[in-house]
Amino acid sequence: MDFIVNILALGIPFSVALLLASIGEMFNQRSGIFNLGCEGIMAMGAFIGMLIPYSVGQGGATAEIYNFLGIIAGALVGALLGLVFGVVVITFKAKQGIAGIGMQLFCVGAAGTLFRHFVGGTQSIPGIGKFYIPLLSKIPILGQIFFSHNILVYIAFLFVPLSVYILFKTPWGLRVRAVGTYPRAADSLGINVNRVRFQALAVGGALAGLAGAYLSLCQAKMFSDEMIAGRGFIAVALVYFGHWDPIKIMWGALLFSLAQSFQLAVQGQGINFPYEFAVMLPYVLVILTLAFSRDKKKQEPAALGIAFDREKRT
Amino acid sequence: MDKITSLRMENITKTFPGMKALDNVTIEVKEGEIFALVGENGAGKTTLMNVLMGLYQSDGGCIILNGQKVCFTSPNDSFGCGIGMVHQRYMLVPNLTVKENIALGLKKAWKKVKLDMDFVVSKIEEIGEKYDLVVDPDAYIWQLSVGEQQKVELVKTLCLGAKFLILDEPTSALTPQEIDELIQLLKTMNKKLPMIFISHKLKEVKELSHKLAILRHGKIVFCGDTNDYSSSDIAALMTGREVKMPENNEEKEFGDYALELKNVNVKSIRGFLALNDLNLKVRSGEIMGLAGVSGNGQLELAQIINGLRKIDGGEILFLNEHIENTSPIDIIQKGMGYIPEDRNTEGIVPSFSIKENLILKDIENEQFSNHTIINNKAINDNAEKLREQFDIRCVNTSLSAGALSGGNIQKVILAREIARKPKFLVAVYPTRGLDMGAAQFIHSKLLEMRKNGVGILLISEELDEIMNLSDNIAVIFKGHIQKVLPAKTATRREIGMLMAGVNND
Ligand SMILES: Nc1ncnc2c1ncn2[C@@H]1O[C@H](COP(=O)(O)OP(=O)(O)OP(=O)(O)O)[C@@H](O)[C@H]1O
Ligand SMILES: [Mg+2]
Repeated sequence: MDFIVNILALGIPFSVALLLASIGEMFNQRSGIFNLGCEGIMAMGAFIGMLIPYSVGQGGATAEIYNFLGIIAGALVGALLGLVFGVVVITFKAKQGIAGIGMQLFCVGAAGTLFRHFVGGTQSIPGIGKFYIPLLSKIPILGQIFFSHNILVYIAFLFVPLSVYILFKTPWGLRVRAVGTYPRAADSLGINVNRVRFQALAVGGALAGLAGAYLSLCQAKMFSDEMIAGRGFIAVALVYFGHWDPIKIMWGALLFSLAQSFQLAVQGQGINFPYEFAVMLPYVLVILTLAFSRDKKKQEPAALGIAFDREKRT
Repeated sequence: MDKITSLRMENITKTFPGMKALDNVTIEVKEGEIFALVGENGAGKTTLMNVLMGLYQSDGGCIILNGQKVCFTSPNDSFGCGIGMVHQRYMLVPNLTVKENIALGLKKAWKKVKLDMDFVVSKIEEIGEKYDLVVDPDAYIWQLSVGEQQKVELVKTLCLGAKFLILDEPTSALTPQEIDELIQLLKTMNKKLPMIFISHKLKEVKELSHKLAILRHGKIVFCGDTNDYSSSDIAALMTGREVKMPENNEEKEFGDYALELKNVNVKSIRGFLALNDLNLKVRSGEIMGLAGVSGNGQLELAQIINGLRKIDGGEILFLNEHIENTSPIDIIQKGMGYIPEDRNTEGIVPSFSIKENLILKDIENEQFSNHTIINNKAINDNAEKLREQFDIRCVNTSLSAGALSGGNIQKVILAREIARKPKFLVAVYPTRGLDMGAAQFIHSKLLEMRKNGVGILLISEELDEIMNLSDNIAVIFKGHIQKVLPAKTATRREIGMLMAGVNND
C-alpha cells in the first residue's frame, strides 16, 4: 500500500514540468508554430529561476519573496525567448524545425555558460517547500497523494481547465485556433495573423520558462546543465499524441510521470528487473496509449509549421 | 462614412512571378449599382477583388472611395470602410463550427474574457430569417458539403454587415432554387448597397446587373450597360466566338452493366441515413445523370463508389466485381475515374506542382516511374500535352497547383481524370466554376468518352447540363433513387417534382 501511495505522491509532482511545458507548446502549435526550442527555454527558465534567490535572498524571512521572483523571472525569460523565436520564424520566415533546434542548442549552451560564470559549481538552494492544504492534507492516503505538494503543483493543474477555457471560450483562443488551421481565412476577416502567433509564442515560452523554474526551484532545488533531461522534447511529443487537447495532454503527462515514478520505485526496492526495460517503460506506455487515441474532433492545426504569406496561394 | 456612393479602381496593375495578372484595369461602381465582372478562367477577376480588399498589394494604380483616395494594406482597412466580400475559395476554418467562424469576424461578440456566442447565434438566426438562408450554427465546416459552405460564407458576410458587397462566384455551388432566391435577395439588398458580382453564368449577370465589364488576360476589353446587350452578345464578346453547348443526340447500343449498386445503406457523419436502400445500374457507354437537390446523398454516393467511405449495408459491383468497402487504390486500378466535388481537398494537392497533380494517380504506372525513380521527362511531356489540350492557363507547369485560378484548378482535375482513360467515370459537378468555353469543351469530352464506351455517372445540379448530356436521368431524394427516366422524354417539370420528393407511382 505504502509502495503505491509513494508512487502516486511522487509521480504527481514529477508531471508538473511536463504539464506546464506541453500546455505552453500546445498554445504554440494551435497557432501554427511548433517550437522545438522548448527544451532550451526550460533550461533558461531553470537557470534564471534559481539565480535570483541564489544571488540575493538566501535564507531569512524574505526568501519566499525571492523564490517567487525567481519563478516570475523564469516565466518572463521564457516569454522573451518565445518572442525571439517568433522573430526568427515569423518575421524572417526561417524553417521552424531547424530554427527550433538552433534555439534549443543556443539556450542550453547559454544557460550552462551563464551558470558557470555567475554561480560556478553545483550549489543547492532551499527552494520552495511543500504546501499542506489545511484539512484536506490530513485525509489519510488521499491527503498525501493529492494535497501535500508544492504550491506550483496546484497552479499547474489549474492551468488545464484554464487553458481549455481560454482556447474554447475566449476571443483570443478562437483567433489562435483559426490562425493555426487556416490563416488565410482569419486574415480575410482582418485578424493580424502574425500578431496572434507572436502572442501565442509568448504564452508558450512563459509556460516553458515556468516549467524550467519549477524544476530548479521546487523539484531539484539546484541547477545543472543536464537537468532538463529531454523533458522539453517529451513535452513537444505529448502535444502531438494528446491531439492538441489540454485534457489529453494532462493524462499523457501524468501517465508518463507515474510510470517514471513506478520505475524509480521498482529500482529503489531492489526488485530484480532489467534496468533498461524499467527506464523504457514510461516512454513505451505513453506512446502506446496516446497513439491509439484518435483525433476525433479533428483538432490538428492544419497550418502547423507553415509561415503565413498573404500573397502566396497554395 | 455611412454610405458608399462611388468606388473607383484606377489603373490597377498586378504582376505575379512570370505573369501580369492585371494590366491597367479601371472600373467604377456607383451608388445603387450592381456591377458584373465577367471573363474567362484566369482572367484576373479574383485578383482584382483581392486588391480591392487589401489582400493583395497592387504594383500600380489606386482606389478612390467617395472621391477620396484610400490605401488598403490589409482587410482590416477595407472592412473599416465597410467593404465585405464573399470569397470564391471559401474563407472558412474547417475545424471550427459555423458560429465560431462567424464569431471570428464579429468584433461585437468579442467580450473581454468570453465570446458572446448567444449574440452570434441570434445574429445568424436574424439573418437566416430575414433572407431565408438557413445554416446549422453548431455544425463543423468539415462536415458540410460545398453548397452548404457557400451558404455559410454568404451568411457570414451578411452577419458582419457591409456597405459595399463583393460576390466572387457566389452561386457556383448553390441549387437552382437557391440561386433564384439569392438573386432576389441581392436585388432587394441592392437598394441599400452597391455590389460587384462575379459569375460565369450569363443568365444571372443579365438578370442582376446594371453595368458589365469583361476582363481578358488581365485587361478590361469591354465595359457597358448590361441591358444593351443580349446573353449571346456578351458570350461572343467574352470568348471572341459563338458558344454552343453540345448535346447528346446520337443513338447507340449500350454495353453490359459497368456499375451496379444494390440496396445500399450509408450513415452520414451527422448520424442520419444518407443513402437509404439505394439501387442504381449504369451500363458502359451510358451517361446516367443524377438529378437532385444537393444534400440528398449525392456526395456520399460518389464517395462510396470510389472507396472513400464505408457502406453499412448492400453491394456495389464494378465490372462484375465487388468493390464495397475496399480501398480507393484498388478501385482506381480497376479503372474508376473520379472528379470530386471539393476540388481543393480531394481533387488536387495544392502545394504540389501542376505537373505532379496531373499524374497523382499514375505515379506507379510504368510510363512515369520504374517504381524507384521518377521519369521526369515523361511527366513534363504529359503536363505540356494536357496543358495545351485542356487550355490550362499557367506560367509553367512546375508552379504549385494552388496558385491557379479556381476554374483552372478544375481543368487540372478534369485533364487528369479524362486522360487516364478510365473504364467508368464519376463526375461530380464537373463544370462548376468553369467559363463557358471550358464548359463546352468538357461537355464534348464527356460525350466523346461515352462514344468510346465509357460509362459515366454525372452528378450535377444544373438541369441543363444533365438534360443535354444524359441518356437516362435518375432522380435522388433523401438517399433513395426515386425513379429513372429516359432523358429524351423527361420534362423539367417531372424531374422537378421527383426532386422535391413527389412520386406518383
Ligand atoms: N497568389 C498568386 N500567385 C501566383 N499567381 C497567381 C496568384 N493569384 C492569382 N494568380 C494568377 O493570376 C491569374 C488570374 O487569377 P484569378 O484567380 O484572378 O482568375 P479568375 O479570373 O478569378 O479566374 P476563375 O474564373 O477561374 O476564378 C491566374 O493565372 C492565376 O494563376
Ligand atoms: Mg476567380
